[in-house]
Amino acid sequence: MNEKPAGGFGHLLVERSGGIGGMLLVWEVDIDASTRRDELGPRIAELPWSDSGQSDGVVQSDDAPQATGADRFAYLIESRYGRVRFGETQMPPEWKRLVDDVREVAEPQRRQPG
Amino acid sequence: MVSQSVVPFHSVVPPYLLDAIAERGAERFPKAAAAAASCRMSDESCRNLRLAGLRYTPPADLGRDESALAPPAPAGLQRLVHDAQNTEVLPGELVRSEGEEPVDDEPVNEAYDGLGASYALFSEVFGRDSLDGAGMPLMASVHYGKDYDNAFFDGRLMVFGDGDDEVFTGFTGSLSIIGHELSHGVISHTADLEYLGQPGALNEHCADVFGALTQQHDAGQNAEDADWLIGAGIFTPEVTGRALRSMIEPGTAYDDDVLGKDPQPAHMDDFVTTDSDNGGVHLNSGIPNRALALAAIAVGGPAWESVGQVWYSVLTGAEITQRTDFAEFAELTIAEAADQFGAGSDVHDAIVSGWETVGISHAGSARGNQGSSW
Ligand SMILES: [Zn+2]
Repeated sequence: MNEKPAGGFGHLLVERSGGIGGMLLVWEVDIDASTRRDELGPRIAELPWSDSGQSDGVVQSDDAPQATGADRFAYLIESRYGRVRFGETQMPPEWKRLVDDVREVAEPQRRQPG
Repeated sequence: MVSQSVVPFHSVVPPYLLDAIAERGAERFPKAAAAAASCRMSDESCRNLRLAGLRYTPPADLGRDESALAPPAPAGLQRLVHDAQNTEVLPGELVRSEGEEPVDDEPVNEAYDGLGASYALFSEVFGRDSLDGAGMPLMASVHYGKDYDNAFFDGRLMVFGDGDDEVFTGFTGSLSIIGHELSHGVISHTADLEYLGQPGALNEHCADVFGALTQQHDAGQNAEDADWLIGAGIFTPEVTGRALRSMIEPGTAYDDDVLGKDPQPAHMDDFVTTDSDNGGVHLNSGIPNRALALAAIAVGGPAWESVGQVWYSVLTGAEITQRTDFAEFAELTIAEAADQFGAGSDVHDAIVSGWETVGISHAGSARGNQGSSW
């Protein structure tokens, strides 16, 4: 899937919440405008959005991110392909690599939670 | 400092040997025994410690009288501070064990001293021996990750990042943070409040309570003289803020161009409904935090002798569950205060008033709670 899809790859958003400070940071990239479009775009398109982390919507207790311990960060990753949530320790390597890449190409923005 | 040998990286110490060292080696190999005891738990961190090689004192070094180097530790207190060396591999290298002299690394010493102060609160005030009540060693790791802006409890270890030096300095610089993380360990061995929604916010609240009490107890400070701040001093001078949180005035700890404003609510009317942060566990904890701080100040004197006793009894009692919510928790504290101090006592009345002030009524219904998904 190396061709640009109709409408483009769109934006990718990574939100980090939690930690002992409970602060919210967001990194957002316009993939189509990014110098790393050809690398990031196809990778994002091929990630298993529907089978990873927690599905969109309100997290229920029974499928909550039972983080190991407390004060770990929690991540939300969102694109035109889907929306997934991971606890910091539960993120598979391909998703962690994506988060690391996005943090390299985008400046973090602090946002008010809620 | 007595020199130590490190078991070569590829020399994995088998579990039975760890058991033997822990159970029978305390006299000849005190540091190795403590480290081995801490490794017998089958969690990820300790597997890593085994894989990285157990650091221990060889018999040759034990010939030197280590007891002369430092005063004997109080019975039960066993601290093991590790250096993660700016990696995310836990626990890292063991760099200071119980009774050893300070090392040339301030975060290591801050963690060591902070664990001691936190242990002292639980031991001297509540008669509790460590996280599990049975003297389990206190393990910490410092220098976790690169520019890591956080501290956490991973189920076994208390872990501290160095901060990015732009917004945050190192997380061992605040005793309330060290006490907060150690308290998560106590909570996990007692009520084990689910880390989600209102029970998760209570988990955070209780960690803040005993983190603040650690600091106040260590300073011999009365409730009315305390700042009730969590994480005071961990921001760099560039940040306009006093701390991560204010228990007495939630929402006022910082107001900065870059960080924004402290988002903690102080009343149930402002309860935050969100999917982030496991349902806002670090946000909505402001509500019970304010209730407790108000009660402690109203009673006056050492908070660990009044409201602290009530909160500890509830946290470790039979009535609390993993999914206790704010209203249920308030009811438990009010009932406990009546039992311990008497209905109509200063402590009881102050706690009732504290909960009412934040919108959680004595009748057990939490106003403003209806909108919560949690
Ligand atoms: Zn916490």
